[in-house]
Amino acid sequence: MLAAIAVLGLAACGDDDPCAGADTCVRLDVRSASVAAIDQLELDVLYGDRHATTTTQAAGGATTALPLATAIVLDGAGDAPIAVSVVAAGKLGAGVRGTGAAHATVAPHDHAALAIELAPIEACTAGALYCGGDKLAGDPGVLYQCNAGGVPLARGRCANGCTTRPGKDDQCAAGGVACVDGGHYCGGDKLAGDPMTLYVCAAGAATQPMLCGNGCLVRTGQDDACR
Amino acid sequence: MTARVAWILAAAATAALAAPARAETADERRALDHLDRGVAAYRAGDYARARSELAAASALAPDRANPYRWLALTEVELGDCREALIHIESFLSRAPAGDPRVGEMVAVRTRCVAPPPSVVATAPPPAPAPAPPQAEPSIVHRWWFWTAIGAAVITAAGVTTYALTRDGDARLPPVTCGATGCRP
Repeated sequence: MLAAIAVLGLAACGDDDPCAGADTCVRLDVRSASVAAIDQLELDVLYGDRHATTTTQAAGGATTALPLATAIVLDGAGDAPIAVSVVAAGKLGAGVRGTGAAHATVAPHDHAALAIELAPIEACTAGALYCGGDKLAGDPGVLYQCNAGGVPLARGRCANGCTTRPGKDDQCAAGGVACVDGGHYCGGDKLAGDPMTLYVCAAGAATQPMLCGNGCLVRTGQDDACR
Repeated sequence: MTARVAWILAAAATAALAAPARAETADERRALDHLDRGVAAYRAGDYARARSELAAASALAPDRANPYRWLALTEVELGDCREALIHIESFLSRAPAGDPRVGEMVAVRTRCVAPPPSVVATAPPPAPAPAPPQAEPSIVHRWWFWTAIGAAVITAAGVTTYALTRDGDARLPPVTCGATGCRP
């Protein structure tokens, strides 16, 4: 018990910045008006042109009271600023208690901060695609897949904006430049669609969708391709 | 200043009342390993393995509340409400007042004790004759009284210390994102 109290006190008196000592880092502050505590924070992170999902939790599955702070350390940041979009799902036991999202841009070798408010989850349809803010927490410029019982999964940032379509999957907008017939394009690059799917342009429309398991790569001056 | 006062109070209360309590032991470290594996198995839906790991954690650190909570959640998933109720009570008797997990465990207990819908109401059996009154021993002579007092004082000291010295939000471990993805 002495040890527990000592550890508690030391932790409380320690450095307040979870990014302390990191090179390129985004501090993440999580709070909520409706969720008191969680034992697991599931994160969907879109950083630059990469995407990953991970989970952070206290040792032993212990419960952590909100507000809380954590950090996303970006390894191997290049020379350009990195856009970071984060969707967070706070869990207690097996259930999601709230989700929230935020995005920021961090310069290489610098620190940035994001604040996420966890709000009760809305009823999205598992597997369906939604723009952030349309029935699920997220960046309005990013297309997500609804994930039953977990954090929404980012499909990719929409360079030309994300379009909400009642009754159908939302999609990334095509933008003002028309696609070339027979060319291959990721969704949202000159034709509307899912940024993780490669399409063939036919009369300006997206046809022959092919899902890219590792993401779709937009290439200037040549056909786009799956990674 | 207030932080120092709180530390002194906490240390005095702990030294006076928690003689058997010592710094984290090897057993507790092993218990934490079992607990981590049990929680991971629970989250993966492998409830049989979760129960085995969590039972080991609980056996190594029987005074800790958290393994009982996870055991109860696991046993509910396994359909074993009888065992779950025992572990819920074990958790509730160890968790501090105001612990946010208490509400969750009470809700699980309520679900476990709810009568199944197929139960048909029958006439109650005649009431047994009342037992002769017995002299109640004084509350201070109950085996659990001083244990409860000690636990309450230690918990209060810890909470007070934390509240007075805390200068920031709670923390979760950072995650690192690189070329191959993100990891805790």
